[in-house]
Amino acid sequence: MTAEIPREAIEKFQSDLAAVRAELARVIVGQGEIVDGVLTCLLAGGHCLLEGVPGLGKTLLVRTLGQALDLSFSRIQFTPDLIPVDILGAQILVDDGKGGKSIEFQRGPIFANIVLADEINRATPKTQSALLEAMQEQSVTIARTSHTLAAPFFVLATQNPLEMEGTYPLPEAQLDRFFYKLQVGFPDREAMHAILDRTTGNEVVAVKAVLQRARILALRELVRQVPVARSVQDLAIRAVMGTHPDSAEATPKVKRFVRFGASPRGAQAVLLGAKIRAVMQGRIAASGDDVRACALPALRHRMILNFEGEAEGVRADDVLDEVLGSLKSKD
Amino acid sequence: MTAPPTHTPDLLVARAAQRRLRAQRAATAVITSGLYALTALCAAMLLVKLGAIPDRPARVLLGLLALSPLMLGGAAWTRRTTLLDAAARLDAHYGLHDRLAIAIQFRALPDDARTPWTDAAIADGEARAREGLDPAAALPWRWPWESRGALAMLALFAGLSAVEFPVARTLPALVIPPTVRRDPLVLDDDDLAAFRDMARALERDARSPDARRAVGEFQRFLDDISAQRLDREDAFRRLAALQRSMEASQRDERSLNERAMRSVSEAMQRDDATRALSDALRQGDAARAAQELRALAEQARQQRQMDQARREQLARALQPRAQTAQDESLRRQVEQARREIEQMLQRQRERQPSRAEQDLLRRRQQAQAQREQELQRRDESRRRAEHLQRELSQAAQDMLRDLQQAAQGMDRAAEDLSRMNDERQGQMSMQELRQRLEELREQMRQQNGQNGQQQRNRLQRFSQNANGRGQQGQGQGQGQGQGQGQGQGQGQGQGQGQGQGQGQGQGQGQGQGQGGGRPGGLALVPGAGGIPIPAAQGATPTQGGQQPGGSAAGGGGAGSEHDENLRGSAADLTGRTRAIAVAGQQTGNGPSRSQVIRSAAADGFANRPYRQVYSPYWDRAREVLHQGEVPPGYRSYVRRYFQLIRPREETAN
Repeated sequence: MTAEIPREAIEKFQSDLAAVRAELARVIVGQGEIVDGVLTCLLAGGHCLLEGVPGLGKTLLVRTLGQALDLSFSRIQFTPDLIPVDILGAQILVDDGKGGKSIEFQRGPIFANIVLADEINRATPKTQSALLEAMQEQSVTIARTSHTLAAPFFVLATQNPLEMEGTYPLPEAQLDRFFYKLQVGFPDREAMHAILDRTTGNEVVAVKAVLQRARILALRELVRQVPVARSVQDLAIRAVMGTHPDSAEATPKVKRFVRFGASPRGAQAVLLGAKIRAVMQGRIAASGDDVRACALPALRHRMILNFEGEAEGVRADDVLDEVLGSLKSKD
Repeated sequence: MTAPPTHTPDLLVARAAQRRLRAQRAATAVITSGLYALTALCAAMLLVKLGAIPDRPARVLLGLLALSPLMLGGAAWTRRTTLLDAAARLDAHYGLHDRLAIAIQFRALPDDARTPWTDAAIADGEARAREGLDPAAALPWRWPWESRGALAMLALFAGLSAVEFPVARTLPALVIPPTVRRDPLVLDDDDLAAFRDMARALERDARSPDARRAVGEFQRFLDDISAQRLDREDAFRRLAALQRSMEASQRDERSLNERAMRSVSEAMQRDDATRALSDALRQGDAARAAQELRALAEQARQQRQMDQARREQLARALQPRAQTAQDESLRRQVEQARREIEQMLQRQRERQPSRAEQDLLRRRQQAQAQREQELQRRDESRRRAEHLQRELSQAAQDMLRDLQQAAQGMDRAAEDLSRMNDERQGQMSMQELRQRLEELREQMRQQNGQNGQQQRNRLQRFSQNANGRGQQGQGQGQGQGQGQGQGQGQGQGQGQGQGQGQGQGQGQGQGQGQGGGRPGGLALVPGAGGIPIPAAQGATPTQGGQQPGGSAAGGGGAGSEHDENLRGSAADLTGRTRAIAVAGQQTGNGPSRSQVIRSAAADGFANRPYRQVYSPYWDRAREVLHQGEVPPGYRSYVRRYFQLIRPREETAN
């Protein structure tokens, strides 16, 4: 393989993603960073947690993405009475039409390429944990039988940060399974105009599938070939180490407000996200800027604030900003 | 796959950025540390200017402070600045997303770690490097904020260096020789007082500058001994130097003057009017010659009418014939010695002289200095003699023309003779001083030599005895009498006593006495003028001290007691005396002389000042000492005795 091959691969990668973005843009207004983040999670083989107030188009985004990617899509609305069987599926007695009956496994909504776990924090921890194995192992075990989920398996979970009454915050172990945690922001005025224009008329937009399943899997392999220099990798490690209050890289805020720092899985997410970001931008290797850009969505949900941090309303993003700032000054 | 070189020309821009980065770091270190170093330098310079820091530590401190920024700058320059840092700066400035840094790192990878993606990244970095990246733009020269402060401190330091503060510097303490030496020469206070009296007398009599200078040196020498500033070695060295200088100044000077006077005296012998003058000149008596010449001048002034024959006779008598000859021999010696010394100095400049050569040169230089000084004195003496001859010759010529002029010429010649006389007096004073120096040397030798302490003790006992104080027993008497000799006395003693009394003035007297350990002794009783005179010997073994004095004063009564060991009866104070013939006894101690005693007794003691009585005694004693008639071990006793009974400044007259 010569140097021209990566360049061509990157260009093809960019064109594919551009097509996806274009299809999404037909439905979703703005939210470019969210779209890129979701695509990053998809290409990294991870899952994405979207956090935002209701009405920002989170569900629409996920559904549109499923359509644009030509992947199976299922949506699960998490409620407190939802049980794991509702998600995973169950063995039920089935009449075979000949008078006989048999027990068959009825697949739950988790058996899809893209699963939207809407308001995931409203389900009980038991139900939430049912999603755990599927997210990590890409398989579901029911009645001692493992059912492999079809690749790509991509979970997009949403949660509302405002209505905390009657919710069950995700446990740390489950949060760690999410590749990114994206915070969906409120659209600006121009974006609001566009949203209103599109949604209050009679126009119905049909989204085409522009990226096939096989291509997605190929892109997943491609992004993992992106090289990372030692200094860039060291930056990612230092960013993760900086979130640990007992490390030398820890900043004052980390020492004061953080109980536990990010796990090594966080470093993996940062570096893999950096690779994808570099390729998205047409670069061959991941840079320090990519690491810094990916550190926030990859690490913000992997830090556990202590009581003081929680009491003072400290946001993980503030702590991470300080950590990343300290890394920049040391360069 | 072959790995490309780590640093290809395409990435030289990163190398240039690295050098720039190092230079900037070094400059920043120099300026930043320079600010603090200059601040410290200003403080140090201020302290130096104020004299708070000695010069040598100050130089070291200032040097270290001045060097410290350079050292820190050098350290910053040598500090490891990686190429990656420089490339990162370029990447950041040009927004290259670490392309150069990544390319540099991927170049360092081994071949088996390379992938097409890494090669593509390297190619991408090199392509970017070829786009005309400017290290100066990426790393602009930024002066640290300390620059202005450093410049201000530099200006302040320059100002402080230029300004001179009017501060009294503390000079190193002068090394003053200790007042008290480890083994100072110690002379008895009484001896020192005696020498001081002698020095004062010599000072009064000294008329020539040499004599006054020598006496002054002698007095300073005594002062140093009194203050115990000299040890034995220093004292003898000073004494020897003083004696040498006096000997050098004395040599042949007297003979030169006398020869000059004799040279002008021969013609004067022929005339009756000038014969007395001639005699005085031949005898070298300059004072009398000057007196005779002034008388002759006065005679010439008064005899306004003098016949021509007489004038011619006097002119011939006054005309000197002989001329003083120059001492060419000494002058040749001086010239030759000077040449030799110059040759020795030249040799010593050419090579390192040995210690012996240095000593020899020093001795020759000292001898040369003495010779030149002597030659100078001889020239001065010769000029004086020539001046005298010229004055007399001029007076002789004037005698034929104008008597007044001749008289003035003779007066001038008399002045020359007076100066010669002063020199002669000075020479006599110097001679006297030399004798005193010899005595002082003897005192020093005896009192501070081996067994010096014993000798001092013996002399102290002798002094006490001579002063009338014994070692055993104490007797003290004090009597005052006025008018008719009324007085009272106290006496207490053991054994037989010696007494000495001093009286002063109109019947007032003071007596003092102590019992002595030995029977017999010499008693000096106050005379009419308060002058102690030897009194009769004898005292009872049990009664010492003084009794009311004679008719005029208190003190010890002469002959009031009797020594049983002596023959004859005690003196009868009632005046009913009788002569006792006492046959002499052979003691084996040699002859005794009684001439002076007899002559003095013939003149009478009572009606002469004590100083006049003392001097013949002391002169005779010196004569005896000089002739060696007193054993050497006892000479000091004789000298000391006469020192102790010398007429004091405050009492004798």
